[in-house]
Amino acid sequence: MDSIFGLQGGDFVIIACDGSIAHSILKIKETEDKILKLDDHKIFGISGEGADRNSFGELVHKNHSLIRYKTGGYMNLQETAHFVRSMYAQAIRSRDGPHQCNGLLGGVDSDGTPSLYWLDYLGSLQKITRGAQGYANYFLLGLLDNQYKPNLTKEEGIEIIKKCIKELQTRFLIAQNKFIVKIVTKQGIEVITI
Amino acid sequence: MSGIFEYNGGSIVGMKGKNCIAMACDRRFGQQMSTITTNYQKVFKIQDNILLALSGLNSDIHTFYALMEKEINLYNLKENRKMKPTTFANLVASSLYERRFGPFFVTPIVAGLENGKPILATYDSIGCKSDLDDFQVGGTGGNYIYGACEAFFKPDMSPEELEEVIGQSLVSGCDRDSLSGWGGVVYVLTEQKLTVKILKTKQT
Repeated sequence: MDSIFGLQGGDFVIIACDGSIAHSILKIKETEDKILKLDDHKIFGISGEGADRNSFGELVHKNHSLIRYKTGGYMNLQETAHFVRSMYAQAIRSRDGPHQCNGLLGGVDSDGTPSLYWLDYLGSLQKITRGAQGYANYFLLGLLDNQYKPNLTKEEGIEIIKKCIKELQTRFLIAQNKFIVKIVTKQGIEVITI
Repeated sequence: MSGIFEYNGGSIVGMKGKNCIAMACDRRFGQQMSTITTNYQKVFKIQDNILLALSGLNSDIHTFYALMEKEINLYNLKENRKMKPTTFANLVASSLYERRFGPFFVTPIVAGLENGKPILATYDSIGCKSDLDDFQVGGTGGNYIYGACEAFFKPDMSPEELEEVIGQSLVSGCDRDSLSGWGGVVYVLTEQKLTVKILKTKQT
C-alpha cells in the first residue's frame, strides 16, 4: 500500500513517500519516513511491509558504509545501485527467500550528475528519469510522463511532485494525508513534509 | 506468477549473413501489464567478435550477464587469449546447466564471428544448445518473429540487407506482442565493425 515515487531533474533527484503505516484497517502512524539516507548525497526510498523495509534498509545502509570504508570512502550512484541489486538477486535463491520490498534509489554524484534507479524485490534494475513503486504506478506514471521534460529545475520538480500527491489524494482509495519529500542536490539533502 | 518468463516481457532475434551476424532486441521493460522503461538494453557485447542477447526475467538477465562477463574476464587473464565464439557458446550452455534444478529464467542467444564464419546459438533456460539454424528467436514475441523471419530471410545476405531484414522481422513480431516493443535496437557485426541502429515500432 506504500506509495513511493520520484523524478530526476537537471541537477537534482526527488523521491517522495507517503507517511502512513497501517495494520489491517487501522492507521498506526502518519509520519513514517520511508526514505533512507545512505549518505549525504544518496537516498533510498523503500516500499513494503514494515519489518522487511526496516531490515533490508539497515542491511543496505550498513553494507554500503562497510564497502566505503574498505574501498576508500566514496561510491557513486551506479556502483551503489548495482550493489543493492546484487543484494536483492542473491536473496531470491537463498534459504530465507527474497527481501520483500521494492525501492527507488536516487542521488547526485560528486560531479553533479543526478541519477534515479528503480529496483524491485527480484533484483530488477533500471535507470529511470521518473517512476513509482506499488499502487502509485497506476495513478502517477501517466502524470509523470505528461509533466516531465529534460533538465527540470528544482522548483518545477517540486511542483510536479505536488501534483502527484494531489492525484493520489483525489483518486487513491487509501487515504494518504502526509507525504515526505526528499530532494538531493549537489549541496545535500533537503526534506519537506507535504 | 503466471509465467516467470513473461513477467518482464521482451523479444530477441539473431541472424546469420555472409561473413556477418545480426542481433536485434526490443526496448521494453515491464511488470506484467505495466511498462516501467522503454530503453532497456538486452544485447551485450561480450568481446569484439561475440554478442550475447538475453530475454526473460530482468534480474536474471543482469545476474547471468555479470556471470558471463566474469567468466570471460577470468579466461582472458588465465589463458592470455581471447575466447572463441564456439567456446563461449559452450560456456553459456554449461553455465545454464549448472543451475539445472534452480535455473536462470533467461533464454539466451549467442552470435559471433569465428575467422569470418558466422556462429549463432540459442538455448532453453537449462542449457540445451541449438546451433544449426540460420536465425533464432527468443522471448515473449518469439513466435511472432519466427513467421516474419521465415518470410524475409534468405541465406548469405550482405550486412546492409541483413540489417534491413532483421529489423523488419523484429518490428513485425513486436507489433503483435503486447509485452514487447517500445522500439528496437539492431546490432550488425562484421569483421571490421559493429553497427548499432535504433528502430521505431508501434508505440504501445
